Amino acid sequence: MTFTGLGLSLSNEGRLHDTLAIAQRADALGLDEVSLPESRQHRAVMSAAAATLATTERVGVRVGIANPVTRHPAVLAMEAATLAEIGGPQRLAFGVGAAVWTMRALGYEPAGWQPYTQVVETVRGLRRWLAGEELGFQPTTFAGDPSNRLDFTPVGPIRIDVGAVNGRMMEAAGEIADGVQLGALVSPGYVRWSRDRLATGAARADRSVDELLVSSNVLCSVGTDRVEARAAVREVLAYYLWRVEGVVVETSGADPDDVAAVRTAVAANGPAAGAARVSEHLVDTFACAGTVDDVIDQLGAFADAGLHLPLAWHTLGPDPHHALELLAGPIRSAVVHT
Amino acid sequence: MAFPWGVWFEPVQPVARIVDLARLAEAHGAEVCFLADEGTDRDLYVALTAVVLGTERMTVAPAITNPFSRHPVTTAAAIATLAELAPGRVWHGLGVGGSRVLAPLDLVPQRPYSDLRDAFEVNRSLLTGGEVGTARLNWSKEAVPIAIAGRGPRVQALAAREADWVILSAEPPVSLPQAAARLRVNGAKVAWSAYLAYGAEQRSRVLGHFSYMAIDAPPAIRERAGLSDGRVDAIRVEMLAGRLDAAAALLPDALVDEYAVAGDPEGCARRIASLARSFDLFMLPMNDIEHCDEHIVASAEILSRAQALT
Repeated sequence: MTFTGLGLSLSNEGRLHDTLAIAQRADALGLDEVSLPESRQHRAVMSAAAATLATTERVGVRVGIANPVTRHPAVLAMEAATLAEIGGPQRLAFGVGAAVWTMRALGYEPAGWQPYTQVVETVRGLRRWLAGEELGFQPTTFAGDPSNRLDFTPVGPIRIDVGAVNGRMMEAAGEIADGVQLGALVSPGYVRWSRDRLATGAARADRSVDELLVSSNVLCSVGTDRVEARAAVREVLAYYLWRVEGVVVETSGADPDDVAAVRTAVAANGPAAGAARVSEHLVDTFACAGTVDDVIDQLGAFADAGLHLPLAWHTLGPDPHHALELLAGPIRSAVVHT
Repeated sequence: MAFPWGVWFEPVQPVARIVDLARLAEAHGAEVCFLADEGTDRDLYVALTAVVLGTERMTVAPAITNPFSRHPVTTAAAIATLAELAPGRVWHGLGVGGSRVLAPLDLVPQRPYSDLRDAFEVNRSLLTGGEVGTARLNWSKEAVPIAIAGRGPRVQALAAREADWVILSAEPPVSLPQAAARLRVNGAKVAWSAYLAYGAEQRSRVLGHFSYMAIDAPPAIRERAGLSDGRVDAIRVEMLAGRLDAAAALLPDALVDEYAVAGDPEGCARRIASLARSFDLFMLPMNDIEHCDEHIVASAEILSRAQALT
């Protein structure tokens, strides 16, 4: 199997100019998409996405993902519609999710917060608003009236994906979204499990899971030296193994004892200590790391599991600049259906 | 001394058009671009990003945003991001919002003044390296002046006491000197916005803009404008029904003389020049959507003349 595209998942933790420089390079090199997160208290994703769309030519831009808690869901619709005006709707993928981790970091969990219901109502609202229609229902998780609509007619259609990790949200994505963006850490096993949940949700809407785009961050590290490339993912892998939801590990096929050892080390002494406990088996399970041929093989396992759009992220490689060229060059050529 | 001026847009036009208009204004001498956070129009920060990237030198600012449609930390992060993108070219602008802003979102603030004050403090703290609860924007390095807009006495007092800029958008020319003296007492600067009605056609375009002012203004201002409670209720009914022209028809034409700078172009220039000591920045709102280009060009000539007269 091959992918529909190969993208990058960027961070908003560094200077916006640096993020833009990477996005512009990805654009020039021919990668298909860059995903920008709303990561806790870092750069604002909407300005980052707007600047990326405004300063690149063709690469797709994904908001991956924004939440309906720190702004009114109608603001999300305004943001999506305005971004689509800048780059054209075909270049935009707009992800929405509960962002529980972000809310915790902000110390902002509204009384009576219902993350699942809020995401579902938000996506339903976005569908209507971005189609130029009235909201059409009485929301229970945000202020609104069924007659609410945008004051302008958005250009579209605009892709709306749901950021999902657990089964319930995954099924909701299958039922109501154009696609799903999986969480921070994935494995082929977890992708397979996610597709099953998506299929269940899709069936509720009388459609096929094949109509959904399954995208995900995938830990990637590529370089000419296999050992160095694999070493480059260990610390970030340790961090996410420590914090990630149980289902992600349980469906991965990873050895529970290996995972427990990493978690214990991270909890006690931080990610660097955890990195020392990351086994080769864990790298093979959760990352695509090594030489170009290694990464092509490992990505193939994700494609076979049903992933459509991998978003290479985090280290990229011991030499990120060179890694970007490898990803956009021989790796993309091998794994993307053209 | 020549005063600076800027343009104030509502995001009711496509972003590319707003950027083009901002460029036009910049080419004609505008130094600042305010963008309103209105109802369910284009998103403020996406549009401001496009404007700041599409212009050379202009300072940009939300004018104004509110504490309700976004979490204050989200707002602070958006401002800090813009400031990082264009160092020295970004201000922040806050107010309580009004019917035009909050009604389409079904937001009904219970404590608008207190929420504004809290949002201001959160934003100022985060934008100057402080912590608010667990929130901290430790990457934010750019100093960002903060403006507050408001018509009520409590908000204006807050602005005068705490903000770098006070935005006056419904201050009649006749009372501007007195208001400016009061607001500048602690060193805040005054950004005065007034519609320019430099002809009969412009008068009719300007009048409609006073509908929201009629609804949201404090009682004292409404009374001064000759707007009875019954008239205001009737205007509100028309506006909620989306009949903006019908709402405007209920407004007394004298509002233009009271609240706008009205007359022929030379008269407008002289009026602005005569008030130049009472503001630090003149902000030009658009009179309508269709004729922004010619309005900017015509107004730039008036403002240039006013600058020459000061």
